[in-house]
Amino acid sequence: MEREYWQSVDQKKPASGGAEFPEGHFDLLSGSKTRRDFLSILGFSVATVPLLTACNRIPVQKAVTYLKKYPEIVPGIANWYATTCSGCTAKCGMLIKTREGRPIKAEGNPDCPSLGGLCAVGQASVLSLYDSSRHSGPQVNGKPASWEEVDRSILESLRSSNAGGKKVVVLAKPTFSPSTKRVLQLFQSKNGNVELIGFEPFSRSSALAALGKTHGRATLPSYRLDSAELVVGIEVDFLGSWIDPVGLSKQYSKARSLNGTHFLRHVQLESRMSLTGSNADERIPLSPQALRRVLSGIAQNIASRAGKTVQPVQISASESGIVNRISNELWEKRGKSALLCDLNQLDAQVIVNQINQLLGNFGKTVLVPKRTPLPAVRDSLDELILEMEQGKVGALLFLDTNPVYNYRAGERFRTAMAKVPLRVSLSGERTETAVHCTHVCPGNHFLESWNDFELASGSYAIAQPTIQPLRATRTAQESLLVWSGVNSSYYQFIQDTWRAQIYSKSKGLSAFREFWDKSLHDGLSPVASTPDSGSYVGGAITLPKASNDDGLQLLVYEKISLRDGSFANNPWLQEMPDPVTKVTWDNYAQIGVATAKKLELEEGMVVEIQSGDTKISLPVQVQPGGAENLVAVAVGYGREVCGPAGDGVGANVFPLLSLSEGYLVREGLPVTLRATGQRYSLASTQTHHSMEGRDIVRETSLAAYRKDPGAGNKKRMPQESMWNGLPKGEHAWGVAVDLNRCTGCSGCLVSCQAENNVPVVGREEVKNRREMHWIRLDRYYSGAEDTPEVVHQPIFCAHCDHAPCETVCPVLATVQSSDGLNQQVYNRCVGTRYCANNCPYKVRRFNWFNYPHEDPMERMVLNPDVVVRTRGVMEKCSLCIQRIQEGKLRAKKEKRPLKDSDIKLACQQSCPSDAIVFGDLNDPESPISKAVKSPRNYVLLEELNVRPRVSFMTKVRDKG
Amino acid sequence: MSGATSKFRKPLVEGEKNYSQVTHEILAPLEGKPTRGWYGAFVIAFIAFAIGFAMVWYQIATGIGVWGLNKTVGWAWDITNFVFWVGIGHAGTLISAILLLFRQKWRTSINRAAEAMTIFAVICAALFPLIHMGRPWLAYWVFPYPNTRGTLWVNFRSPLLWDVFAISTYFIISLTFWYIGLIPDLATARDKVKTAWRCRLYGFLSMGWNGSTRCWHRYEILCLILAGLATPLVVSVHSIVSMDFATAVIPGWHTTLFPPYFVAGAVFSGFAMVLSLMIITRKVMAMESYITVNHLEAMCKVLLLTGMMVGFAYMTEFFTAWYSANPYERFVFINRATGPYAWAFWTMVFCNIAVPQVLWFKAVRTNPTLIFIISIFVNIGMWFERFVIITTSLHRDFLPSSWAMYSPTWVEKGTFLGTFGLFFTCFLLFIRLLPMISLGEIKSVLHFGKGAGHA
Repeated sequence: MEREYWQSVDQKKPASGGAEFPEGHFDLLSGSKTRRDFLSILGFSVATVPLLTACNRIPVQKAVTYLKKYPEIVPGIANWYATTCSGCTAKCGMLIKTREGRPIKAEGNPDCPSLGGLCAVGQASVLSLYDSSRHSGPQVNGKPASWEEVDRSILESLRSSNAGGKKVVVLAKPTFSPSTKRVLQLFQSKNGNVELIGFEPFSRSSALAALGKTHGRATLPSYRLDSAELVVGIEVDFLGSWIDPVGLSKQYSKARSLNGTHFLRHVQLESRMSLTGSNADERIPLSPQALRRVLSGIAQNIASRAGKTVQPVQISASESGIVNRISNELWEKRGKSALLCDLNQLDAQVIVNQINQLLGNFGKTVLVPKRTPLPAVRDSLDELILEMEQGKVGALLFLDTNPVYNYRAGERFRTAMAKVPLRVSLSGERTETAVHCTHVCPGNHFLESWNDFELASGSYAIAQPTIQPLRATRTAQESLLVWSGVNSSYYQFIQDTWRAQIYSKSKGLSAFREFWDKSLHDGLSPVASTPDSGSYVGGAITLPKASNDDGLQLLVYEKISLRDGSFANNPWLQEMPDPVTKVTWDNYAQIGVATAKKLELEEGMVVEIQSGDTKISLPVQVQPGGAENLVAVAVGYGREVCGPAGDGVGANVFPLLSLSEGYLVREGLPVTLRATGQRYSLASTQTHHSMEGRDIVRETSLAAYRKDPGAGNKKRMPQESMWNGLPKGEHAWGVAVDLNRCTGCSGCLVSCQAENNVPVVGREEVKNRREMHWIRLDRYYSGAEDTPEVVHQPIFCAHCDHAPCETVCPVLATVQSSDGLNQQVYNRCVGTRYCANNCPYKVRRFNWFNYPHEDPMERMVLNPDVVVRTRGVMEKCSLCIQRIQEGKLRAKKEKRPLKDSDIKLACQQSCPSDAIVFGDLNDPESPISKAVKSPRNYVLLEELNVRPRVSFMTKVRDKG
Repeated sequence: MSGATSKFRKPLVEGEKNYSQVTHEILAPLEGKPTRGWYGAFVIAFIAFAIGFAMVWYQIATGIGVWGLNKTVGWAWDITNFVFWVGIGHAGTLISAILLLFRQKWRTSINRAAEAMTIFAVICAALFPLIHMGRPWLAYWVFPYPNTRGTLWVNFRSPLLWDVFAISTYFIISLTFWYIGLIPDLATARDKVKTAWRCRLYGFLSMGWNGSTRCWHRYEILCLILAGLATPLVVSVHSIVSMDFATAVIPGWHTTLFPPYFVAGAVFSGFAMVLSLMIITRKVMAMESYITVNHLEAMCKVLLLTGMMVGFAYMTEFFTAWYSANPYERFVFINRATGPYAWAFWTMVFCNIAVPQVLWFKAVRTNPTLIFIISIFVNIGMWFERFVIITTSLHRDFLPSSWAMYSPTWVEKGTFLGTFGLFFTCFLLFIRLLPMISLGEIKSVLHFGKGAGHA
């Protein structure tokens, strides 16, 4: 017998998991060989040698094992961390999935007030983390420096500024973080003459001030739409970008679900067609000036009903008709209604609060949270500019602010700034302001940082780092601590804050350590300061001034994807189609159909919008439902230095704006329009907007639904088949999309993109109609062009039982699983595209090119459970097969049957309105089985008999 | 050889020619120096071919995204060109097989060239299913060959797979038929050429043909058998190609009319292409006495008939769409005639239905210049027919949210041009290197219509 040598103990003892190759195959060295064996080995060798030598284009990757085994890191198993989204003021709870130490997916935290929903911006934040154009480290005068050098030089400059009697200004984004507030206060107290100025380009400054004036607390209101029966929105995109879109969508969809006792009726008065307006039961398009008049009218009407006397308002007959109707409805539902308004003028916001107060909505549907932001926000920086020009400012620190880009007089700000000797930018992202700073002290991405927040609900949330800082960056708060001479990490500082401010309220039920650990684990403290109705100050009812000038007016708004422009360098968000217009990658001058006709403008014509001496050029987008005499333009575009994805995209509209009584005039600014004669085609993912009378979205009215839950739906067709039954598996996956809940917000689209490594293709390829999104939101208009009804319909692979794609593939690259999934086998696909042609839903996406994943930083966001597709291969929604598999494995490991609640699809998990139901049709008790039995359930294009597993539920609108 | 000319039967070969004269004239291009016209044509064809080659190279190196296709229109010029060339490839086999079975003697002077045309057209056609793949380097996966990938096999339900068999079978049979038909003539060439290497080449290719009765006997039997085999293929190939569309669920594709409609269209376009080619060839190669106006007239009659069949099919489609009361189906046809691609539809109607009607007039049927112009119209019209079917059906199907427009890129245009380059390069080499008229068969009809007793 031959002697056996071994190299390690492991080798000597055969591994229990079995060898890589089963024994008996190709064992060249042992045993006797027959002629047959010889031939098979010979054949194998001859075939493999050229094959293997031909494989040399795959570069050799050296894998380095962990020197130390970390117990919490098991390769292939995800770790989840609770944190808080910093995308907007809502501060939704997030669960971050990390794989091998890399955050790869953001999901909503169901234990937070946002109830597990997460919007597109939150979903996309993981990509911003890996943005390789973020600052890589601190800089002094444009040259890289070490943190020690930077700190030394800044401290010196601060000292000399103090010595010179000049003041230090911190221009900070207002924050609700208790610890950040403390850091700012500490910095102020340690550095002498420090002024804290709050600046936000698209602030709700008037709403804050108004609540301060009427209810004694300058904060943003919060709402309980789920207990309301009527919501009237005035120019407010509360499902898209206003205050807390996810939380409000959750409430909205819950209150409009057909299970409850009441149905939240929604009336929207607005000038541009917003996502929120597109979901309204009744939407009345009015120009911004008309909106102010109507608001006055409503106030006057309600006040007189409440027994208050106010001066009468002069409005036209048609407008007074609207006023009477809405006032009636509001008055009828007093205490159960809410008036929401985003007109950025103090008088308008005050009157809205007063109306809600007169209706008795405060404390019921409208709440006043206890949190207040620091520094107090202001829209005007003119005073600061003046001081800078006069040389009174010795140091200027930018904390998450970028006024050179997004202040209305950014250019003037930039020149004035040059007079300030010390200019420090603390943003991690490249900003137009940082370019003109003496010191760049880049902060971390929020997924790399510790932070805490006070939420509108009164709870406190923790944001924890999910990865070590990828670059030589430092949390902005930590920088401020260093410059305040405090030698403690921000993490320590937060714990101190919590011990003093929050733990003390917990009545000491447990030790601080336990309290902290629990809060950190949950992402939320168990302590909360419940919002209340505030203390109404009353005061006289002064109707907002409204002009009768109905000339061409400008409205600027935040797009649901880019918001104020901070996310401009995020390609996922740039390529996310606007939920209403379906345009990607650009902003545009949105003009209503009637106005476009009047001005003889067509889609794609470039126009010059002028206000005062400032003008910008933008292509026209003709919008059904846009009010007359309105030009609407999204902010957040026209960035210059944010990075390759956002630079030079669209035009910056901030310079057009002006101030009125200290508030930014975002609505109703008079402008002139001039066609330049040029043309520019917008990259749109949908170019036909009518259902052509087809039976695609089935809809009914609330009254009809109350009589017959199947109203608007049709009887199921009998199912004939020429084929034998399909193989039946243990499970039968199915999806039902509730069109009554779906608002079209497109959070699912970005969620799917993150989960499934869906590539970004760029503006030109979107124009070529080659976007890759696996889930798309179809949006159709019906009715009159000026007052259309809008429907949104998410469409993704329907996983047909009789899939037309499967029969036509010549190489069986798309096949049915026993669980009823239509599976795409990328490795087998040769790319004939026959399947995509034959798909009646057109959900298949083809890799026309190799889409770049070359950026080593950006590549870290890829989900290792989902293969990255090469060119020439078809792809489509897999119903998150990796999640199904994970759920199956988990159930198997826990030795229990799989429940369909074990698995949540990426789109389903993040949906802020819970519109997607997924589950096992084999289980008669599962929500999906109940959903498909609902009289509202229907199958799209049923007559084709392709038998999709994805079905829809009729939409119900309260048509009054 | 003199005698009264038949009243009813026109001579198939014009002029008083004896056998050696025929041999000499038809074999002349094989050894003679080509004309300037030939050289000019060859250079142009080869440049076009080179452009096409470069385009395909670029496309395969970069990705199919260099074409104008999109998520909604997954096929357009590629499959249009494929069907167009397959259609052209129909005339050859039809002329040689079906007309042989029907004992149509007028076919003898055109069958060789028509068969060659078939083979080159099928090569051009086969290129498109290959290069339209996202990963053409894996094209061999469409063949059901034994492999080591477990139970992986091809999908016998897929019409694309049927295409693979239909086209390859058709190509093999056509090539065999053509080559077998060439053997006696290659032997003649072997005997007549003066250069040694040509002699050896033709000698090798003629497979030891010695002109014995036994040779001729077997030759004729084999030709009949092959004709019998090829005849159903004429019908089957284009029927199967049509099933790529007919078996799909897409309105405008999903119709049982397609197989006969496509076969008629194929014969129509094939004859148009034969006419275009023959009219040039007989002029350039001075073959007017062999390919006579009578031949052209006979082909014109076929053109007129098949053209009307195609027109009838167009009308049937519209009628069925209306009669079906299927809103999607109706929409597709309204969209075809009035939508953004209406210009393509009306070009098709004009070229395929209106233009061929002038062939009712004998004066037109016997005027080679006019016939040439008409044949070009038909070629254009038949290309548009496939474009209309494929693109207008796809670009607006069930869900209006996905409706999209398609326009070709220069790569697609260059590739299409390249297939013409390939086709004409091959054809020009063929008329230069091989006897372009079947010597053996033309001699058998030399006296046809020229005297009693010599049928």
